[in-house]
Amino acid sequence: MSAPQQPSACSAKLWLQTACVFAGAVAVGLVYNSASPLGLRNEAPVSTDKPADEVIPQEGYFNETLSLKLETSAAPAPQVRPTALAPGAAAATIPSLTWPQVQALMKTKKIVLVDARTKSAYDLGHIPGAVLLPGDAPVPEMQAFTARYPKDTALVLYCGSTTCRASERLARLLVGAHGFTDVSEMPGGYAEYTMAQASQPKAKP
Amino acid sequence: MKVTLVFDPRAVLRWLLAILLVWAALGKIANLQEFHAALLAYRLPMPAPLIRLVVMTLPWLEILCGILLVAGGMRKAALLWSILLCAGFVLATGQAWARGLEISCGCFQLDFPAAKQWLESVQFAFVRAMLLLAMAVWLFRSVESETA
Repeated sequence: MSAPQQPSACSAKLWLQTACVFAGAVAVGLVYNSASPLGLRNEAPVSTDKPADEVIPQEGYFNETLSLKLETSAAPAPQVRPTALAPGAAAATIPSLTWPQVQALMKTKKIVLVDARTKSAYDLGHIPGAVLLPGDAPVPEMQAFTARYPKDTALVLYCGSTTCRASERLARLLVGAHGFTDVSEMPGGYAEYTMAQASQPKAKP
Repeated sequence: MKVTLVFDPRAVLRWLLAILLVWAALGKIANLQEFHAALLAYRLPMPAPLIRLVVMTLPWLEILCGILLVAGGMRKAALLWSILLCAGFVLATGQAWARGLEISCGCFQLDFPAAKQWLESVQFAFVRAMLLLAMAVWLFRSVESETA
């Protein structure tokens, strides 16, 4: 029969094991982050992108993706935010696009990429040229967006990844409540874009 | 020969906790960028480098704890870390709830809008974290009473 361990020895052993678990997790996490294309990267914002707080300026707007200069509408904005979808809008099919398809559209057709994530996610990194419009954007922000772009503007919405439904919900809202007629979604989201960027061979300096 | 099956609730809860930890970790590892953004949405009073370190290591800590809970060996240490992790989740979701932060992960794909809204809410995240914390604390105390 083995002698019972002293409480202090048990505590020391427990803390040592706890430290080992933590050290193991830190080591594996750091190695995985540096080796995997899914790891966190220090992405600096693209210099041609406007800061998020200047995405919706007060007068005039130039969007490099759309390459049009649009003037803000002089008509008074509606005071009530439409929350009810038009009949059948909920069942409307929102076309899904992959990142290569979106890339092809950007070359051949003037589209507006819309980032439906939060501002903090947008600031961390976004597809170059994308306009921020969070899924839960306040009324003034939504009104500014809908006033800036004609209803037949080709919009392509994305959010985080396939597990995020914000872009789909925003797409249905833009179609059903605001009358946009050409709205698509990129279900793979920013995750698909980063994976595509990571898989591309890096250009030599 | 008589075979007796013994139902051990501690083993069931240990497996349940392990599966939940590993499942949550795999979701985070698959998209660290989104996890980083989600963590920032909680507006925790932590410097940016520390948040990045948490993003890089927390999922692996969850996986290690899940494996050790089932495999044994350093089970007590795994339970201690599980308690710390769950306590951290309770604090993060609790302060987000108290501050009225809108955090929606869009993780659940259901056809019931009301249920989906609740499951994506910070309130549900807080309740879930509390339940996991209670489970981890109970398991830790049961292991302590075994070794005492």
